[in-house]
Amino acid sequence: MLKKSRKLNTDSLAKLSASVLAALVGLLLALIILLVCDAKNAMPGFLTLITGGIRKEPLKAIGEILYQATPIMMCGAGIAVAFKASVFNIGGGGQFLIGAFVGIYGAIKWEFLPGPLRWIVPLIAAALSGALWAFLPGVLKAFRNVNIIISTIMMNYLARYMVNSLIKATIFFSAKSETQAIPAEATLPRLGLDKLFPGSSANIGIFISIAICILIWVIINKTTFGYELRACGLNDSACKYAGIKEKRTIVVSIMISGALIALGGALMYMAGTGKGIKVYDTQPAEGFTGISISVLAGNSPLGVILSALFIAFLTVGGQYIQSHGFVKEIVNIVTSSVIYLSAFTLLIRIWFDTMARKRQAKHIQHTEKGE
Amino acid sequence: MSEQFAVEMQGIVKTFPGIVACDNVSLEVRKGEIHALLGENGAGKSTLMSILFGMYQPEAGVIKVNGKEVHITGPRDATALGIGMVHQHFKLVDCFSVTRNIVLGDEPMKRGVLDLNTAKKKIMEISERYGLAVDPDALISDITVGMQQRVEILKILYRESDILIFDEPTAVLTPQEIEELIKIIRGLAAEGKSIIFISHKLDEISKVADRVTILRRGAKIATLDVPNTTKEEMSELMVGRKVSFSVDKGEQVLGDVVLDVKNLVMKPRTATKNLVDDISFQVRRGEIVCIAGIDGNGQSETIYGLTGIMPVQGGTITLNGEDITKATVRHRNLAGISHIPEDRHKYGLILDYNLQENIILKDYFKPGMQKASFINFTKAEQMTEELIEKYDVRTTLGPKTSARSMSGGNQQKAIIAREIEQNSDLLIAVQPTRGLDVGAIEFVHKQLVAQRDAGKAVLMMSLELDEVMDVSDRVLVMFEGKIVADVDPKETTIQQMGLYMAGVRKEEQHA
Repeated sequence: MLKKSRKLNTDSLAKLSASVLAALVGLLLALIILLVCDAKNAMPGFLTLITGGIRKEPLKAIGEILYQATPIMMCGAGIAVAFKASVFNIGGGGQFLIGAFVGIYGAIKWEFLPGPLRWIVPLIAAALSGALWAFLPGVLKAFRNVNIIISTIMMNYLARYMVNSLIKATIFFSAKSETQAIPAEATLPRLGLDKLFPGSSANIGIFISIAICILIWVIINKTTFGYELRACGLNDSACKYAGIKEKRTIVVSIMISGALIALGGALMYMAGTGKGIKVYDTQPAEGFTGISISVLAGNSPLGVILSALFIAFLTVGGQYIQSHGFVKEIVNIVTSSVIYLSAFTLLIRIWFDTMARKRQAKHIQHTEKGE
Repeated sequence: MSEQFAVEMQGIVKTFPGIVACDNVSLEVRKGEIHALLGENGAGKSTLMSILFGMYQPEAGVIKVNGKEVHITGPRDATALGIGMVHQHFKLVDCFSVTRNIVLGDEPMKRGVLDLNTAKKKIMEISERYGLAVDPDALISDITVGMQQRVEILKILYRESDILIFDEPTAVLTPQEIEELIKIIRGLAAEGKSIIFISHKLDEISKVADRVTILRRGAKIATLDVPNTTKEEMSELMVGRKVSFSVDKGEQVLGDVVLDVKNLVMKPRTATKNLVDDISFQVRRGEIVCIAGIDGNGQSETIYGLTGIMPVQGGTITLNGEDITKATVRHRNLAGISHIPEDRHKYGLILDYNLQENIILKDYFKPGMQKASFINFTKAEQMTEELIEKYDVRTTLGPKTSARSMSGGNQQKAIIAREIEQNSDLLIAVQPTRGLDVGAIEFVHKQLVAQRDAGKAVLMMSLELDEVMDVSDRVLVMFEGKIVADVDPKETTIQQMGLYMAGVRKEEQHA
C-alpha cells in the first residue's frame, strides 16, 4: 500500500512540475521581451503581469479573471476530450465562431422563449451547432482516414467566412461592422457576481464551465464511454480486437469537443458586455489558446480549470501593464508568449521521461555488469 | 593454409535483452557458391545477416570478407565491401522509374547534373549479362512483384557487389516467379558471385543451394552439402529432436461441432494473391485443433477472418449453428469466441491501462460491470484480484499495476485469464506461448488442455512444432493459403510434419 501511493504521487508530481516549469519558461520569455522593449519599466511591468492587476483593483480584477477564464476553459476542455481519443482538434477557432454566432442569433431572434429559456436555449443550440460542425472532419477521419489537422483547419476558414456572411444577412450592426447587441433579458445572469466584483463582467458562465469540466472528468474516468474513448486514444487495434466501435468513438469524441468549444463561444458573447462578433478575416484566438490550456493541464479536464484560470490571470494582468507605458501590441506579445510556451509542457514531460528511461537503462547495465 | 572464403563469420555472439539471438555462430561462404541459411523463426538467421550487413554490432566474434578481417558499422560499409542485400520487404520508391530507383543513393553526376543516360546504359549491360530483363523506364508501381525483386537485385549489382544476401526472397512470389528467380540466382553464382540464401522452405533449398547452414535457437547446428543430404535430415536438424514435454491430457470426448468454416477466402486489398485460399475445416467440443505451418502461409489471416478483425472475401463461418461470417467482433465475442491474440501488445492489451482496466476489456459494458453506463471499478478490482490469485499473475501493485510494466509471461497470463473467464464455447489461441519461458509455456498448455477437457472447442495456431505435436488432437498444416494436411499428431512424425510445412503435399483429407 505504501509503495502504491508513493508511485502515484511521483507520477502526478512529475506531471504537475512539467506544467509549472513550462509556465515559468513562458514567464521568463515575457520578461525578456519586456526588457528588450523598455528596460527601465520592465521589472514593474513584469510584477504587474504576475500579480494580475490584483494589486491595483483586486475585486474587479478577480471578476475579470473569472469572465476571461470562461470561454478558454471550455475550449481547453474541448481540446482535452479530443486529445484523450488521440484526435488533434485544430478546428477550435471555427467551432468557437459557429457557437458564438448561433448563441447571439438565438439570443436576439428567439423572443418567443419564456424566462430563463431566453439564454438557456441559445446556449444549447450553440453547443449542438458546434457538434454538428465537428461531425464532418470526424467522419472524414474515421471512415476515409482524412488527416484531421488539415480538415479542421480548412473547416476554420469555412466557419469564418460563413459566419461573416450569415452575420451580414441576419443580425448585422453596420455602424460597428459587427453583430447587434443582445437584449438584456437574453444575456447570461450575473448571479450577484457584478455586486461581488464590481466593474467586472463575471457571470454564471464560469460556474457552467467549471461544472462542465467536472462532468467531462467524470465521463472520461468513470463511464463506459470514457473507457472506450481513452482505449481508442491509447490503442485502436486493441479496441478493434475487443469489439469497441473505434470509428464511432472517434466521431463522437470530436463532436463533444466541438460542442464544448462552441458553447465557450456562446458564453463569451452572451455575457452582455456589449462585445459582438466582428466581421473580420482572422480566426478567433480562443481555439488555439484552448490547445495550450489543454496541454498545460496535461489534458486533464480538472487541470483545465486551473490552467484556464492561470491564463486568464495573465491576460488580465497583461491589460494592466499598459499603465507602465507598454503599447497594447507588446502586451499581446507578452501574454501570447506565455500562453504558447505552455505547450512546452509536453516537451518537458518527454524530456523527463527520457531522462528517467536513461537512468533506468544505466541502472540495468550496472546490475548486469555486477552479475 | 585454410581455404579463403568470400565471407567468414566466426564465433558471433549477439544478445538482446532477455534472449541470446546468436550464440557463438559461425558461417563460411565459399566464393561462387549458393549457401543457404536454414532455421525456424527466431533461430537467428536474420540477426546474423543484419550483423553481416552492419545493422547490428556483435558482442563477440570475427567477420572476414575475402580473407580480411573487417568491422562493418553500417550498410554503407557493407556496400563498400561488396555486400548487397535483397530485403524481404522491398525498399523501392513506387512513383520513381526503375532506373531512378537503381541509382538512388549512388547517383551518377555530370557537371553537377543527374546523368540518367549513363546509368541506363550501365543497367542495360548488367541486365543483359545476368538475364534480368526489366524495362528501365517503367514505374515501380506498374510492374509486378517479381519484377520489383529484379530491380532490387539490379540495385546491388549496379553497386558491383560480389556477395549477395537474399532474405526469404520467395515469400512474396508466385511459383512461376520462384522458378525464374532460381534460374537468376544460379546464373549469378555461375558468374562468380557468392550468394547467401535465407529460407525455411526445404524444397527451394534442395533446388538451389550448394551448401546449407542450419541454425536453431541462435546456435549453429550443422553445415551440410545439399546434394548429400535429404529434406528429412534437414527438417530434423532445423526443428530439433522432441524435448519430450509431455502434456497430460484426459480421455478425449468429442462433442458437437462448434466452429464450421467453409471455403474461407481472405485477400486483403494490398495482397497480390489469396492469403487464405478456399479452406474448410471444423472444430468440435473436446478437441484442440492446431493450425500449423511456417509463418506467413495464411494462418494469421485465417484467425483475423474468424475473429472479425479483418473482413472475409469468401466462404462462411458458422459458430454453434449461427452464421457469423459478417458479424461484428463484439457479436462474435458474445456469441462464444474467446481470442488470445498473436500480438499481445498490439491487440491483447492496452499497455497504458492498468491491469484491472485490461481485465474488463471484454466485460466493461456488461450489466453487473456497469450500471447506467457507470463502470463499477470496485467490482473490476475484486474480479482482477480473484484472477491474479487463480491464474498466478505476478504483479507489483495488484490490480492497479500498469500493463506495460508487467513481464511478457504475466501479460500473457492476464490475457489468458480474461479470455478463459469469458467462458466461451470456442477458444482461439494464437501463438499462445510466443516469447514465454519454459514455466509459463507449461502453464499455458495446461490451461488449453483444461478447456478441452471441460468440453470446449480449442483452436490453436502455432509456429512451434513441438507445441503443435504435444498439445493438439488434430493438426491442420497450412501452406500458401491452403490446408495441405489434416493429421493426427500421434500418427505423424516430426519429420513428416516438417515436410508438410515446407509444402510437400499430403492427399487432401479435410474433416
